[in-house]
Amino acid sequence: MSALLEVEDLRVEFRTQDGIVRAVDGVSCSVDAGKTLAIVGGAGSGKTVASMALLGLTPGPCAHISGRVAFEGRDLLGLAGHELRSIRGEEIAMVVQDRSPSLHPFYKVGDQLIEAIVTHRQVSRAAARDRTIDLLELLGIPEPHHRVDQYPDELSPSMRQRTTIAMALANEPQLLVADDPTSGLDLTVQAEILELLKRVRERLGMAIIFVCRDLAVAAEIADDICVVYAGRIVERAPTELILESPQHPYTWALFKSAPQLGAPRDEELAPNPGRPPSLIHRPSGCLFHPRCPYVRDEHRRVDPALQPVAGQDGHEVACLLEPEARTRTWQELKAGARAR
Amino acid sequence: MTRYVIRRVLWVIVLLFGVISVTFVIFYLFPSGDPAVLRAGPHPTPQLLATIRHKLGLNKAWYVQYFDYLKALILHFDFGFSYQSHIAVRTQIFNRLPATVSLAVGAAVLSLITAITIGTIAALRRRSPLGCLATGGAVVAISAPVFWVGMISLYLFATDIGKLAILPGAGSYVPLTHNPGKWFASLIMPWCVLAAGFAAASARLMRSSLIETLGKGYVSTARAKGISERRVIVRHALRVAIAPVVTAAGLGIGVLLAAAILTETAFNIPGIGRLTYDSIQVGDLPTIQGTVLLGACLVVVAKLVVDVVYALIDPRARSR
Amino acid sequence: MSIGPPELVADSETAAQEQFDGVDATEVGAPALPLFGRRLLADRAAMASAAFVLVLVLIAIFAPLIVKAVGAPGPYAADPSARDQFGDPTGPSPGALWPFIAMLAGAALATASRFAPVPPIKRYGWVLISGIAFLAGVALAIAFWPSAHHIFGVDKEFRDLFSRVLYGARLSLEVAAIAAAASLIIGLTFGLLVGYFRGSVGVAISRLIDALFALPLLLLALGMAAACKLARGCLGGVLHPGLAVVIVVIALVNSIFIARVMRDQVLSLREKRFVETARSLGTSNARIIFREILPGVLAPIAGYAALIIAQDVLFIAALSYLGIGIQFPWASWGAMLADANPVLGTAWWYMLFPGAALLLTVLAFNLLGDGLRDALNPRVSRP
Repeated sequence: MSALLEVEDLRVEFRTQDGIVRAVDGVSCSVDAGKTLAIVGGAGSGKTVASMALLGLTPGPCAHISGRVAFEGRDLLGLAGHELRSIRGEEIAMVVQDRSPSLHPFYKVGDQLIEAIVTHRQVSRAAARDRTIDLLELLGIPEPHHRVDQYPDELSPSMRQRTTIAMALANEPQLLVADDPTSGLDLTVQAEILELLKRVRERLGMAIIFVCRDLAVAAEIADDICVVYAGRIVERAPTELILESPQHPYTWALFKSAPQLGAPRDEELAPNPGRPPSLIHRPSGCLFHPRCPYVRDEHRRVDPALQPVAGQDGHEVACLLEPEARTRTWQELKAGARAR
Repeated sequence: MTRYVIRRVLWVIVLLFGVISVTFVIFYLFPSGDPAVLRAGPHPTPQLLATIRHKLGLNKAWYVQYFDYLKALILHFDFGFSYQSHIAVRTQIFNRLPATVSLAVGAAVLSLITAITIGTIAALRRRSPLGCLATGGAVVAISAPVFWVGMISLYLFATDIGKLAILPGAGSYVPLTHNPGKWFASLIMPWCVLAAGFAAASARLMRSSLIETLGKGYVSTARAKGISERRVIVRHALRVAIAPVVTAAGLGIGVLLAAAILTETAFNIPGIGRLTYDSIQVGDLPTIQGTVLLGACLVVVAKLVVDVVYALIDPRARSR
Repeated sequence: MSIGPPELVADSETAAQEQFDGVDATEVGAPALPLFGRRLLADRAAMASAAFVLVLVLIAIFAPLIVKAVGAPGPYAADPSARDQFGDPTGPSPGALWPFIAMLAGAALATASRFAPVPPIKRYGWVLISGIAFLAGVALAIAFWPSAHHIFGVDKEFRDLFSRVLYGARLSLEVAAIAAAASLIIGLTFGLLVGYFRGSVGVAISRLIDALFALPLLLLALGMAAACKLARGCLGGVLHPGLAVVIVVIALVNSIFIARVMRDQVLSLREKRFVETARSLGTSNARIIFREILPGVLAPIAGYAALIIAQDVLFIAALSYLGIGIQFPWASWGAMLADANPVLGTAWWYMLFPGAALLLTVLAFNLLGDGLRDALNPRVSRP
């Protein structure tokens, strides 16, 4: 069965006065219908840029995108404007980060949802309004008939996030691209929204690309996980395999900074050492070597490619350390965590 | 919305009091020298001085003078009396009001339309020669003094002295009611000249505002919904991007009126601005006082209108 | 003409930066001065306008020397021999204009190159063009100058216009700089204090600033200058009409604007993490103001200073044009333009040279201010 969405060697570059910014540097992955793929990475990893490039939403006129993004066989990157627009919001929907507000501040919430519906379906405004109320209710928003006439700044952040998700689900898309839909929300709300997504996914048979920076959240919801760093995938595997035996030092760092993944309550959170990589002046050799605690001389010169992990089907990692060394180090880390 | 308008109107009343008080301070308390002498003109006879002193109550305490001033203004619309021209300031002002209104309103409308168009083009076609030309031209336009631009355009285009005589020259203004055609033709140059600087400043603001708005999350959300690009720009981006331009327009009305004074002087248009200029030349203090006061009040009221328009654009402003 | 507040929205090309999951720029402290310096030097157009501003300032300072060197009679001496066949003042010497035309054309092209969409042109075009224009100007000057007497012609009192324009530069920049400095100091002080200390006094003053800002300051300033001039003195003779009043009036208007901007800056800086950290560590208020907030606030001040000087030059010219500002016998561009009004058709040089000088000066400061502001915005990355 061919994948619903196949990304091949996606590259996104921004030409700026300070240099060429390689935000996404050769990402390849795929999602099957009804499955969930999580793209996990820290700040500056390029995950948001990649997710926006899928639907052609990369901002700014100075972006250069290359590669292939095949949705049901059609290359999205080569589509004409109106073809792409008929797919957006209908077959593929996106939830953008709520960093700079994702809901328009001047229009009522209900009107924004109605717009999402009416763009693709020939229904009366009244029918669209009913559907909007149903959607809000489905997403767990209390008093939907009241909320429909409110402005976004009258809603709490969790309700705003649910509304944005509702807007994406309005036309029952086959694929949902969700960029960090739970960041900034407190843990209980986070859990609620994840449950919501799982239920909706079940009902609609929807595939999800879930972008986030927290490995724990990704593990909750995804079938497969891709870990990205500096615009590249450094590790890729089904969720159970990554949880059981992560191979890349960056993945280990993500583990350590995720509070829920089985670490004892009183362990200190270990922030990742070093700073996010500059995407203009990239390190030589292995991109992670300036921050890697296990770096060796060779790593400064050789750039590793994704290699399959022996004995684990579907698990790939881009690391120069020997597999035995990695397994050993991971066991030590796990033991050390438990012992403390 | 109605509550918002009422609140703004109340605030405007407070501001008007402020304006009146400030003009009182500037024109009564500020200048050194005998107020009666200042107002009497070039030939102050003792009787004239006595009349002025009596009329203005100059022998009373300053707060009594202030209340009289207020009373005269609010109850009788009495802006003062020009002893030099022997005419009530109010009469002079209202005679000349239509000319200034024609000039100012026309220029304001022209500049807003131009600014929004040019600013949007400059933002959307940032890399094209047209966009760059617009951006570059705007900087030059805001750097040029309006009276000089007026003189240059007269030198080039005025029918009496211009090199390419296509438009009526200075002093050719006629009221709208007399001859609409001539009225319009005589205002074309002044409108363009007055609007230029204002339009350029607003266009720059529009450009940067739109660029910033286009980077916001809700624009991406709108695109992700599959809406046509034109709808995204007009309904989602422009409405937000225009807001700072409207605010700046409100702040700039005072500047517009000041620039109108300069334009009327350069083009010899018989408006309130020209009246101010002439009064300065002959030293007619009451008239200057009257025109400045009126101008300031007009600006405050105009800002109220702008605020209401802003609240129509941005619903969040209505609760402030 | 714009004698109003500069844009309240900074030019921000958020294209690449904003969408990165980059380190949130708001978390970091104020842009480090070295970074600012680097970016400024890299912005060729800003550097070009800085150079031009420098040239202007030098001309202004050395105006008397230049005038002497060129052999012009100075701005106050009337030269009755400069009459044409009708007995009217003579115009500019034709040949002697070429150096200026060459250099002006060069300046215009160099400015245009700032906005060119092609990066190589933008980066090096201005250097090339201004270099060529300068050399051409010098060559032409050497060729034509000796035969010229009154290069720009004479004004209606038969005074040499070239000298008057140069001296006018001196006067305008002097007055504008003083007024700008005064308004910056006042505005900065008030803005800092009001923004940082949240006591009831601070709030009251803050409200006052907002209310004052809502008034049409420009018109009232005009009125004040006019009243002063007619009364031949204000505030019981403390302020004399002319220069002093103009400076006070302009400084007052601008300082309210600056105070407001500074207050908003301080308010937003106050909420940032590094200030909270400092406070939680028990640093005294004064230290916080000087070490944490002031650097963050000073950065945009450079840009505003240039823009305010540009506005002030225009405002002074406008006041002089109306007869309120700087008058005879001093050489003020605005007054020269007022003289040009009645004789527009014939004596066009009265209008052209002072006006062009005004335009160039204001343009230079505007471009400089823009460049400074862009260099300081940490999110801007110009493609």
